[in-house]
Amino acid sequence: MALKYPVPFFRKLKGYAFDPSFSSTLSKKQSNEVVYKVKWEKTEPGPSGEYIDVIDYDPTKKSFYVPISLDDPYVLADHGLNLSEGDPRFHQQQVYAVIMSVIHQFERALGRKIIWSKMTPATNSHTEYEHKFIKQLRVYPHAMRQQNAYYSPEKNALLFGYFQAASNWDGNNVPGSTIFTCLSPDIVAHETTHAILHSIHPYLTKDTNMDMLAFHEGFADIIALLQRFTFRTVVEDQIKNSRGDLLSPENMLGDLAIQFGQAVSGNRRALRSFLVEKDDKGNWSAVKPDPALIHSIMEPHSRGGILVAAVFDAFVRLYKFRVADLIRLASNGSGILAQGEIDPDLVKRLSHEACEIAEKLSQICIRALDYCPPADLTFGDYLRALVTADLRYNPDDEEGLRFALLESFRAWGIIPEEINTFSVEALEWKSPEDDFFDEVLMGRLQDRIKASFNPNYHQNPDKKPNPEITTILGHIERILREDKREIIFKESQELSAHIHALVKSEIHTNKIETILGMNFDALTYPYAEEGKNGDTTIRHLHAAKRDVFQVYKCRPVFVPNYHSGNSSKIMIIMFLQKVIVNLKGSRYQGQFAGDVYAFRGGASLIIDMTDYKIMYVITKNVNNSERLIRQLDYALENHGNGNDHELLMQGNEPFAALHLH
Amino acid sequence: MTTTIRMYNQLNLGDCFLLKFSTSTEDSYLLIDFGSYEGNNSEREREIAQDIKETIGDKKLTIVLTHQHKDHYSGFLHAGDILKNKKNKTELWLSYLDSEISKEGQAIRSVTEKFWKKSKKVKAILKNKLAAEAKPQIQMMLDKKESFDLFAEDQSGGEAITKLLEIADNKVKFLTPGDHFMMPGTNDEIKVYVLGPPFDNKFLSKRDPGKSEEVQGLNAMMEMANMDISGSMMLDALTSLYEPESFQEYDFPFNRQYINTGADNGPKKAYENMDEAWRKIDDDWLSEIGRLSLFMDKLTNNTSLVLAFEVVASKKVMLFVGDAQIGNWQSWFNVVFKDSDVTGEDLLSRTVVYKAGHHSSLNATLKQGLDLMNERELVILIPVNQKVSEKYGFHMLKPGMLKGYHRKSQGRVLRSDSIVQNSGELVLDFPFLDAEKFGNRIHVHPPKGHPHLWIEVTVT
Repeated sequence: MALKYPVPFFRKLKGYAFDPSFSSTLSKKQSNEVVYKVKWEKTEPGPSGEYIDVIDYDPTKKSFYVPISLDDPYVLADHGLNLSEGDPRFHQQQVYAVIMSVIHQFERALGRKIIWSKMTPATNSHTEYEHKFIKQLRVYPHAMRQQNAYYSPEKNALLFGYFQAASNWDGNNVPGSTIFTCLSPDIVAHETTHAILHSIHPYLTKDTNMDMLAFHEGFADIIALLQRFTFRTVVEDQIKNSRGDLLSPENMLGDLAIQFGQAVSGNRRALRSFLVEKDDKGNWSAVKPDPALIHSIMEPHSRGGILVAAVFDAFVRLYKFRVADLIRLASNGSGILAQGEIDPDLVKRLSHEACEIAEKLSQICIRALDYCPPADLTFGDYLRALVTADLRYNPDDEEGLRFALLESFRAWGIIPEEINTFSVEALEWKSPEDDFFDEVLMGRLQDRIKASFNPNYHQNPDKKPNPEITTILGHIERILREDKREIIFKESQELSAHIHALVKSEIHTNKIETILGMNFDALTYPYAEEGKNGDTTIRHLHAAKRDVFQVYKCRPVFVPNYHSGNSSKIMIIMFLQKVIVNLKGSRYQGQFAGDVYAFRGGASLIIDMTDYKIMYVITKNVNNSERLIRQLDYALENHGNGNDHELLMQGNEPFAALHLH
Repeated sequence: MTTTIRMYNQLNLGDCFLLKFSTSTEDSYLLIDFGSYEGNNSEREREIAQDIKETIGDKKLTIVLTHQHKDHYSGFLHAGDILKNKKNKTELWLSYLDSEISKEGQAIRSVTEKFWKKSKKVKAILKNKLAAEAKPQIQMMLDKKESFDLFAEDQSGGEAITKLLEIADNKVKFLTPGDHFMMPGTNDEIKVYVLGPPFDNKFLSKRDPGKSEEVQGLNAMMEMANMDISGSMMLDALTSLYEPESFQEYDFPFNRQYINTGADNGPKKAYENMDEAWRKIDDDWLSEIGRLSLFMDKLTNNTSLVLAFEVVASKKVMLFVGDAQIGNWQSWFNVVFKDSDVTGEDLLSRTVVYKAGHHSSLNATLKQGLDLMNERELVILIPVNQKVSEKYGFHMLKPGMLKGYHRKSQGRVLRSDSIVQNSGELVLDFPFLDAEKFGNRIHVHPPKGHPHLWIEVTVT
């Protein structure tokens, strides 16, 4: 038998590092060609792999373009096809490479596989929703003739458009060259991030407060922006050209940020305006953090831009701090580099620092997702999640990453409402020991969790062993061991069902659901209403008793930290309940369909798997009047924004209209 | 000095306002817009024209056309001859964009003309070919497009202006933001300030109040050019689907050889898999057609001529905004009136009568603008027709907006289509048309009988 070749770890594919429409000059053109390293997998023509299925159907021509076969020897031989705007097969290769890189980045940070799924109204009568596994995310590289690209949760697909822009205005409108959004890595990474974020937090697309859509946009931009630092050659080039001052406005910011803002269509111009600005003389300069903006800017992209600016600001702080010693060494201690080109060794070391910081920041930002509440997220919540996640993963913060993030978030005014001091201790999510929680109920929940998962717990003389413990341990073992995403999904659903039954069985004896941000009784929401004469009366809204709730995720996760030697072994469980608030007779009457409002609450429960101790209960309480009133008022103010959905054919697409130029 | 503002009831969606300025020595009249959205309204329009003619007699009349949408000018086409009168002196006021020599105006006219040509073809194709496939989403988009297009589709704006020039005997004045002058025939007791349409063309395309920042620095001319190209691309694509492929489409966007004609086509199989039909994207691209219509509609609305009338003695202001959208509103804060300390903000803060923009649509009143107005005296006039608005699914008379109007004006809100509003559905802080609040400032004609022809409010 012939000796087999080892399976390669990576597949290398040539591609653009940034939008080809910006590589018109010769020097840019060179640095724009990079090689993507994508984890090896067998692919079918498309490419169609484990995670994504690129279907190059162009409905405007009712035609399919020839699909690329990545495993064809001619393609394999030379790192894929050469860069080409005119060959759709290269377009397919480019989207494949970028999407897979982004997925890989998330998986590394989260310590688990990304799984697509879809929640649909149930066909049976037992449950309200059916949570289905979706094998591949669909990717349509040429889906429309529009300056638009978006993630469609409805179709579990990414749609990319192409368009022609006028090169000038002379009445004849001669089009310039065709621009393909699927060739812009920024756009592709941005849209992919939407899809991944939605797979992790399916309820964060609901526009329930001014931060929700902004977070989706801002987070997607952060990932896309930091993604640019995965190409050492590009960064080295920038550093060389800027003589080490990577962050000088003319270079790093002037080039990267300006370009970034342009590449992603008109709407996202906002991003740029938070990183760089043009002064009266037409020079670009870095924007100074302004904590007041967060109170005045409400449009999702602009508001998301504040989040991007905060993370980018941390990047700038860290880079300056980290390279100071290198610059001193290279300048005989003066800190001022000599005229002329800088030493190639220094270029290498500087770009190494820049890339490493970017890499670490993106990992921190992604890891925070597991520590976010299941619904109604605010920027403040995200900061708390960020701090908590990083505390678990990297307790001593030797490199000051967490510190830099705190500093810049504060500078941009992202401060959670409910905390008194802006410190790590105050920002970390509350632990069950905190007075905040009802001790008896928390004890009860803790007891149930331990009894469910911990095989040793029944040794306590007062407790009976959990008869299902073997089944449960079997699920956990398979989730951690399996490579097949479909099996992981199924097993995780089984675990969720167990947890669901556990909470449900406690309904009548205890009220442990209240610890989890839910409430199965009839609810009353008091609120103050100001009269004509400035007097206030207390009025009430009501929601009928409803004990339907979801456990839409239950997943054990191991994230090893090779640096500290600490592994974080946690179980994440997400609870969500919807209650129907009756608005009849209130000032909200006549403003919502059927005079009712669906209000959601629940919790992300983080459990330490070493002893099944509850670490954090991150709640959005369904019983919170203030939050309800804020949501209702927010909905009223933003009522009109969805007016043209029929015309734009986007009733079910939260991102389509948002991304339109 | 007394000003009477009469709001006519067209029994349809549209604007028609007759202002009467009475001084101790003379009276003069100003007619702002005269039109109805649906085309079959000439009988009512002639009735209104007759009433206007009888009211004016041989007094001086100035006619203003705010912008070229049918619900603002159709009356001039159908009943303009009634208004023609050699005895009185009639003058016409238009925005600078309607002038032959305005560059911006030329560009807008050119883009508009091309748009309608393409739109007509696109619609014909979609109607003939795609209707057979009976897709509700497309049908809904087309219906909505139809209702948007109806504002301007027959392109009779030019015709209306011709008619108006005839009525005014070619006495026409083109107004530019920053202009200010005494209202003719008022003994210098009324002053006119021109606030819009924006001179800086970036504001012309701005529409959505939610998206406040992004248009800064965007060149509307370029945007118009892009829309024009996009329209061509859509038309090319649609045409080629049903007719022999055109030269432009043959190798677009890729060389022909890249189209997969082979039998072995994995992606095709996956795409056509019936179990996954919910993931198809056959029609999503057609949304661009709807977007183009929306763009054209907002463009024309934003060309609205915006006038503020100041009672010189009392400093009170009456504000008529046409259908100005958010971008138009925002530009008022930057308007500079030559040799005058008056600012846009100042005029807004003294406003005691506000003609609601775009029939009370959300995107036609800037919140900061409304907030500035004088809430102790403010009267808001809404030219609207609930039946028409509901029939075409327009977002007028939305509870949020109405409540805002009511709160701001403490209930002094008048509608052209009804005297008493049924507020059963909506919990309003202030009941509609509280007679006590208005006292004898309100007149309805005819006082009894249904439907009324006009409702009038007096400002002193």
